[in-house]
Amino acid sequence: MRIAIAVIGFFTVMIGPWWIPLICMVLLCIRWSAPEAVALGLLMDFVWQGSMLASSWHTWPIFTLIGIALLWGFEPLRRRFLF
Amino acid sequence: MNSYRRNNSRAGLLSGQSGRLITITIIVVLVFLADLASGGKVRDISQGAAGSISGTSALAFNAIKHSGIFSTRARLAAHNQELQAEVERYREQDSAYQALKAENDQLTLMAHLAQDNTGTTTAIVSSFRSSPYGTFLVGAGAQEGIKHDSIVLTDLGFVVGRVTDVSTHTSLVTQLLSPGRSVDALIGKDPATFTGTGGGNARAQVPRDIEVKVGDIVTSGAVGGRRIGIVGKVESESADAYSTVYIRLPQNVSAMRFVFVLSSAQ
Repeated sequence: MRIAIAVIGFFTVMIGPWWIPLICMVLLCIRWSAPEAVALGLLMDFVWQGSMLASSWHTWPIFTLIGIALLWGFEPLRRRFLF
Repeated sequence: MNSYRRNNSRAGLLSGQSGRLITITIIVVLVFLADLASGGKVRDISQGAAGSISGTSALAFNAIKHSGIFSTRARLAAHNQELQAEVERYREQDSAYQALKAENDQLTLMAHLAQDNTGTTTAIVSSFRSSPYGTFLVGAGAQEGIKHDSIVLTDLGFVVGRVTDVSTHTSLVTQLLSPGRSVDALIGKDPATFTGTGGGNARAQVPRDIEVKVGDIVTSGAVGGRRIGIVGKVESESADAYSTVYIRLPQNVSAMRFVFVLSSAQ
């Protein structure tokens, strides 16, 4: 299941609407301590975001930050309810 | 099987699993630093791969779509098989003809554009809905003479965006009217600041005494005084001092297949 969600996420980064990888990131982080979620965010930013040299909020790596936030944010929940 | 069993462990945040999270976070930061230090090499590789996969997927999708596999199955139950196959064949031919005609029309317009400007006509290799940042990929890069910050035009000569990243054979274009982005423009001779809402649309508040009508051309000094859209709608309440002006590109950006990339930034 984890692999399937990650694969769907990676493919839809390139060919699907942007909200599908986001859903995949949330699903991965809810159930697993998944570095794939951060990798998905990283790939999303590297593919679709312009150069980081210009300083504006448009160049913030939003998906990477969301990935890290999800990974850390869901950790207490996973720690409490999952093995 | 219920995997959501309660875990009564009281381990602290900085033990075991958290150490792994810290490692992941550090790796992500290192990847970003590596990208910055290498002048965007990691980003170039990602965009090149995405351009190839996206382009191949679009070709495969179109081939399946035009093959009639899905539509034929649904109709076989209701119609005679032979007649239906013939109809489908004619439809496929017609679809292929229509697709080629649309492509030809667009390329003819591009050819007119190329007579007045120096640049490159290139295909769009990604979907507009894939990017959350109002960007899209085109199938030409540094090898094809694309330069950073070049203006990108639609077949009708309207500015759609600027090149923000150039890879070997692909380039990333940021839409001028991408969501949340502001651009100073002129409606006729009257200035206004438009905020992009995505899909080639934007809106602005202008004083009510400025006369704006649907169809007015909007230009911007930020892109050398070129056209960025036309007024699509004007909303005005009698109690308000301002009118809301909505502009759009004259064609649907999602349906565009080619763009013209100017060789200069102005």
